[in-house]
Amino acid sequence: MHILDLLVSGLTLGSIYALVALGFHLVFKMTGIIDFAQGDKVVIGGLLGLTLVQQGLSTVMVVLLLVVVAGLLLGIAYDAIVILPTQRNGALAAMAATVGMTLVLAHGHHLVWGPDPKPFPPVFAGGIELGPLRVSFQSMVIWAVVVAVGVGLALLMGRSRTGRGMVAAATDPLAATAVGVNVSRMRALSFALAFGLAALAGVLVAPITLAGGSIGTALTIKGFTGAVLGGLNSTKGVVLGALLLGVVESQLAAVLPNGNVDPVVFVALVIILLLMPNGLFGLRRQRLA
Amino acid sequence: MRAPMRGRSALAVLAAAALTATACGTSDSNKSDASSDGAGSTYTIGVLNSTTGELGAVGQQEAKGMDLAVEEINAAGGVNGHQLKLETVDDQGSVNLATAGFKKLATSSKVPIVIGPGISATAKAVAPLADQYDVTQILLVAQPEVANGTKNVFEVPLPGKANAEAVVKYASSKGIKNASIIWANNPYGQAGNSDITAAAKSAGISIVNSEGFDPAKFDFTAQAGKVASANPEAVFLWGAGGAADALVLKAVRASGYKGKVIGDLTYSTSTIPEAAGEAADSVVSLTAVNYGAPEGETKKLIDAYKARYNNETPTVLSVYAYVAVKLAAAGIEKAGKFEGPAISAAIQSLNFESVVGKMEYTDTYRGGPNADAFKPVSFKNGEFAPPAE
Amino acid sequence: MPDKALAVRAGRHLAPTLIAAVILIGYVFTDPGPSGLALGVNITVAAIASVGLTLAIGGAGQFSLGQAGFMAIGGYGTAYLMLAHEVQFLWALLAAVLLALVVGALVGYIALRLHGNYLAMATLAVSSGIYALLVLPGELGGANGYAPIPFPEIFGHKFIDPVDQYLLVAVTLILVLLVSNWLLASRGGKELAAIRDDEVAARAVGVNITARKVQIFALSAVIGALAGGVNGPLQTAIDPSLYSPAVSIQMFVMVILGGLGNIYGAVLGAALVTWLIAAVPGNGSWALTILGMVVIAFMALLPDGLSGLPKLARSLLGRLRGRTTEGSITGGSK
Repeated sequence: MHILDLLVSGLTLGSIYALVALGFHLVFKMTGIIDFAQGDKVVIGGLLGLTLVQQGLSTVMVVLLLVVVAGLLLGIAYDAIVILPTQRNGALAAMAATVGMTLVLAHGHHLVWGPDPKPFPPVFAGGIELGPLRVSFQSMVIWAVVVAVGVGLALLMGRSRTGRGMVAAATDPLAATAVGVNVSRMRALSFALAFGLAALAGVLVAPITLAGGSIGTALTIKGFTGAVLGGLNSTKGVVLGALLLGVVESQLAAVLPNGNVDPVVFVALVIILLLMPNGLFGLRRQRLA
Repeated sequence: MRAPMRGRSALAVLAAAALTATACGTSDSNKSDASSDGAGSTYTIGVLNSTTGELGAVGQQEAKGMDLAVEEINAAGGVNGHQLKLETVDDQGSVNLATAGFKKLATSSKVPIVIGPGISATAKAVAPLADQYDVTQILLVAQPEVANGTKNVFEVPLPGKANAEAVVKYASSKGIKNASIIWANNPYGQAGNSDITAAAKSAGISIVNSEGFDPAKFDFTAQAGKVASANPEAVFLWGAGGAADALVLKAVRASGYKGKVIGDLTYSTSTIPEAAGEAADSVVSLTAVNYGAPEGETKKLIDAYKARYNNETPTVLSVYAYVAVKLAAAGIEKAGKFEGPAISAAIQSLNFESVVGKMEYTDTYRGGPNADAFKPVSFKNGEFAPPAE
Repeated sequence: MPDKALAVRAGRHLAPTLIAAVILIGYVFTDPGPSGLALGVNITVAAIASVGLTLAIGGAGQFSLGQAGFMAIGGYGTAYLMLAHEVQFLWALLAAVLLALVVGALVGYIALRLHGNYLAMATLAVSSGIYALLVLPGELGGANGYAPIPFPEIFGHKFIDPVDQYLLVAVTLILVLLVSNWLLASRGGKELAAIRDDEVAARAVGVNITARKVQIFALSAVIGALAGGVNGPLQTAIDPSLYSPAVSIQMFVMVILGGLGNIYGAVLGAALVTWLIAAVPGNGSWALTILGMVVIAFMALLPDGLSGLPKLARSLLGRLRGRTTEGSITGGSK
């Protein structure tokens, strides 16, 4: 029974990582950039949601909708301010700018909302009991969102015309422009989607992780670890990798002293990067760069 | 990439400019502070704490308590006719910034007394400097060994070890024979774990298991599950003073554990019921401030704090910082002059009575009050209350 | 072209190092007082570590986000040997630095397989792992910190006076600058730059990539450990937060602001970042928020960092004369 309990909490933990990992995946696949601020965007989403709730908004769906819209807009601004002006100086300049953005988001939100994490009322209260096993609705909603977003992204990037245009824009911007893809609009769209996704994730996970605090970098590293574990280029891989990471972490925490879990996970990340650069579920061999 | 030598020299000049600018900045502040000090009507007390960084919440709580104390003292006419002023340096929880900040307070601002820091590593780094620069220092850490053996360093917080003894004593009085410990994996929690283990041993309570938790995390199902399956008569919780504490409590109850849960003083903040919900009603915290049944000075302080800060209840850290300022003021008043060693001698001889107990310092003991100063506190429907039985 | 660029990069002459030395030592005579000297120590220590990081990032194009991990090895190694085994300061420092050399070489082997973003994340993970180990309770004090570390003592002279303490780190920085300068000017330095500019071409002309990458990471780690090892005993107490992933990111920012691959730029970057964090009034969150904005502004407007300022000036002049220059961040942008 105990193992099942851990499995449930591990799946929820993994789903939180998966929401971050999907953001990495989306941006990387469509623009070739690794966005180091992905975890911090999630924290911002949670805090925006908290502000709305404190303003007296109690309808869950309205809060979620408003936060996602805010996230999409922030994503467009993010692209215009952080990515667009730096990318012409090279991909590394853009990456360094996202590192700068982690500082702005992680410390900027302390200025606005204060440094301590704040309790967030459950978005979906209650749960079901299967014998001794208890699964909260909150967890189930998060699982469902991960599946829905995963499937949605896979369809968007694999099937739709827009999505193929985006992937083409990342692979070869020049050729994409030549066949009529508007590369900068595609990039803005990817960052808008990534921020919107992060904001949604922020509200969903805040009742579990609390809103605010200093967990942005941890979410970034764990989300990235989950993403490369499964294979950064494959939507399915990213989700499975993140879930696997969450489950393994939960089980490890039950057998190892708590403080030893992170070092083990980080060593595992380095080994995976070295031995299986395309991840466990990677689509095809591809050079890392 | 093709900068010729000319460019390099320009760079070096820039470097010079940058360093000189720093130097100027420092000497400027030197002068201005010295002159305001010379004016003589205001006593400036140095404050070294971390209002930002990972432990920023600690410093911000402390700052609120100190501000309230200073306002009260000034409203009552100041100390020996001098108004008090705080000059705060934010060390961001970093040892490097703490030692630099202390030197700034001691030599540029020339304050004879510094309050803080409240984090153990920075306190350890700064304590030797207090004697080097003849500055009185009131630390806000709960580890007497940092201050013991110095000339000028004192501590206000009740020692963590005394808190552990109080927790175990309370458990003994309820007839507990075996227990588990869940402790925060940070300096405070690590010390708490070993202190509780030692206290339990001498009280004849056997510890069936002991689990650390990472205060930066949010999922504690694993730790709670391990404890629930051992099913001891009591669970001792030793928190981190952060949001994770409440989540641990919640996880322990969610795991189906029905026995007693006894916490250290971090379980006596009003955020515990906010984040832990109903589980909060079943924890008893051994804490420095009698929140459950406040009376006299304690009630006055809590009411004043609530009036000043938007109906917030002061945390233990706020109260410690408040007491530290009152202790400093009493020391300055007794010393009759604003000068490090004299204030130190006065503070040692005061036997200062405060809302968290009596500060009885000696040449060798510089920590806060002992285990008897702790009071059991719980919650009812989200509000502080005395323990149920 | 690479040849000319390299000769210039290495600075053929010692002049810049000499000027840096004059400024560093001269600072003592501006009467900075103990608090100015303490700030000087913090700036100089950060400068040492970021010069080391610059060698890896700019010298060889290896993106490392893990410098704080090497500083931790230096800091804890030196402190542990001095406190627990009463080893003399210099011997303790040497032993800690050798340990960092070994770990750095191992990371160098990782860098053989990984590039760009992936290497950055892997080094961040290594440094996060070291941090997580240091937080565990145990002989090194866990998050509680490790103290009291004795003050450093060299040939019977104890470094207690703030002026002495500052001079100790200043001289260390000058030595590090000299060695780095010499290295970048040597054949090895040219080979590193060749790897940075085009790894395939470098291999084709016979550069031993394995050896060079491992060497540069080892050296970068050694310099990082030196910074940590000198600083620890001066502060008399250390704790894991001095070496957290956030510090690694700050180091990275120093190198970026200084301009990748320029050791003097790294010193300036370290001064700017450290000063900003200590000086922005009252609230560290403001400093770091502003710092993040500065990084973005630099990446947009001045991708070569502070060391790009003279070049920017020349390119503006050049534009007046009708010449064009391209501004692109060093290395792997392709």
